[in-house]
Amino acid sequence: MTKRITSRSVSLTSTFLLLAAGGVAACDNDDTQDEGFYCADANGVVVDEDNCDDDGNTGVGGVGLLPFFIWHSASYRPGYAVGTKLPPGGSRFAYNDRAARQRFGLPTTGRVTNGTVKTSVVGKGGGGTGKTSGKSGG
Amino acid sequence: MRRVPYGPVRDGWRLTNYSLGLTYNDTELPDGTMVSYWQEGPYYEFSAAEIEELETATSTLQAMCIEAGDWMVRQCPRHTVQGRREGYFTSICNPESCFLARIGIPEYTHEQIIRTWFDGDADTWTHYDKDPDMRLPMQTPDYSPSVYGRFDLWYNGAGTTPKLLEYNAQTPTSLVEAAVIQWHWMDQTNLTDHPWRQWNSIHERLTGWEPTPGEPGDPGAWRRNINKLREARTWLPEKPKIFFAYETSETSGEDRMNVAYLMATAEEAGYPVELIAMSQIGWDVAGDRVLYVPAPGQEHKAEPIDIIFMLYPWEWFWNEEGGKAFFRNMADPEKRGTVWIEPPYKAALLGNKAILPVLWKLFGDDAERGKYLLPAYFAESSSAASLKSYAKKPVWGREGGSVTLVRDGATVVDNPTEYGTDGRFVLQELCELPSFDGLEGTVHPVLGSWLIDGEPAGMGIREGLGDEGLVTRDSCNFVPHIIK
Repeated sequence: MTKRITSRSVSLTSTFLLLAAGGVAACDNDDTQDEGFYCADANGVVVDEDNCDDDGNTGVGGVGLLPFFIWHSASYRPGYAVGTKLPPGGSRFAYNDRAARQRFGLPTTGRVTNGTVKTSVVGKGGGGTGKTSGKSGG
Repeated sequence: MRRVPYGPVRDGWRLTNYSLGLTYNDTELPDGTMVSYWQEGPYYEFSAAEIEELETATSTLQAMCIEAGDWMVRQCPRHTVQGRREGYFTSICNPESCFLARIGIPEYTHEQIIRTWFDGDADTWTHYDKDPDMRLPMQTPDYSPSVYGRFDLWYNGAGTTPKLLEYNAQTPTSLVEAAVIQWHWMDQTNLTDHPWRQWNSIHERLTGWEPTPGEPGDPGAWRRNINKLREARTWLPEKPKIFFAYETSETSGEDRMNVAYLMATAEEAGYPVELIAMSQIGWDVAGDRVLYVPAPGQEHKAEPIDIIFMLYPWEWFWNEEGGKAFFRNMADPEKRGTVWIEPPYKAALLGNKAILPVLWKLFGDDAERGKYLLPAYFAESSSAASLKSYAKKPVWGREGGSVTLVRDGATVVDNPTEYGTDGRFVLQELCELPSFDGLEGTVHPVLGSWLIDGEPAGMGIREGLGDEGLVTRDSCNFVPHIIK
């Protein structure tokens, strides 16, 4: 690399100058909540996600043709195994309710993986990971 | 090296600095008083010979750190294919068998730390290393971009030798003030006739420059790194989008503006960029991908992240919920995983204080290079017990947190924080910062020596006041410099 001791000029992009002037920053998720999604039966017991796959025509099936639901709540954490009773307080909609799926940003048809896309999995801003506040740099 | 306590005070300097990005100037002290982080008036003068000495020290230290990194990865059983085979289902890294485990780095990260360290070296880490059973189509070696870092040095001018205090390798800040604010201060005050004016080519080493008569051009750190990445990942577009993430719970604006500045230099180098919050980095469980998710519930607007810079310590990241998934994604032998700038080796091998005893072990007896080092040992070692005057530093600490200075067995300064609760410390022989008389009292400078793309690139000076200021912490000031 060429030896250069001092920059000849230090010009800044308009994006940066706008930020310096108090412009739009990254939107954090402090004011919103993560939502966890699980395929479960009417009692809120987690079942295999295939049961909520309306492409496979298996959404209504199983013993005694029980209906299955997509249950959701901000309090659901990832990793509940099949057979687990979901924590209380969740809401549900029919596995094939396209409008409800769309409202939550889920695929309108097909499978919804249990514990699907999540945000705030790293960082302290929105996730409540319990880190003490402080600078990330040094 | 001379401190000038009464320099010019520019009209409207606060507003000028603010408009150039120093939006976090006013600092509230624990007692509630507000102080200015930027010091307008005092400045430092250096001779060209002193700058050359600092440049040489910086290059030499960087070369030693690379050798130290090589030594560290060899102390992990996972650096061989055989080790990774044995460790596929069982734990093989523990404090007895593995240096990385000894300093508290989770075992699941070790392979990617080693892989990113060796990336770009065609002979050392091949497709076979990632895919020993050769189940996937053969791939060329990958590349892990790194653009910057900062050594903190002790130095007291001609006749003294710069000494390494620590290496901020992954998340160095004070970049805006070093690269931009003090450059414009120098340009506006015009205090020197020396052609070098200031040791500060940070900006142009990031963005590159056009050739001029007598001087070839330079593509700059961003283009050089992204071009190398594209050689390794040929499916990336010519101008791949680079995301820049910062931690929004840091409310002073310092993290935000440091990241925004780096982003602006990448933008100037020609790349599409986007500034995001750490918490907007999402994990697509079904697709096994890292995504930018604008907000929960807006996953349908998510965008895959090919390349991301984050100002966020890996040692926090790899202990958080998303850590394992992101490291698994990184391990894709087909190189489709997200590229993280700076790579995990920057924290695991270079940016924590364990490098200090490793450097001393490897180079303490090297007459030519060891002069830039201070004796340093792990706190639990017998050598550490022989030190009577030392700085005790947590292996995983920042901003001077939990650093204690001990002189002749008596504590001079301490700075209790949450850092060091894991009990991992190093002891470094005490080398108290130089003292200069200032208007406010005795001040102590630490010299931040910047590396851009592994090359010395400039300097930013931070000063502490009084005995407390012997440990550089976030209440310390920034003072500009010139070359006279």
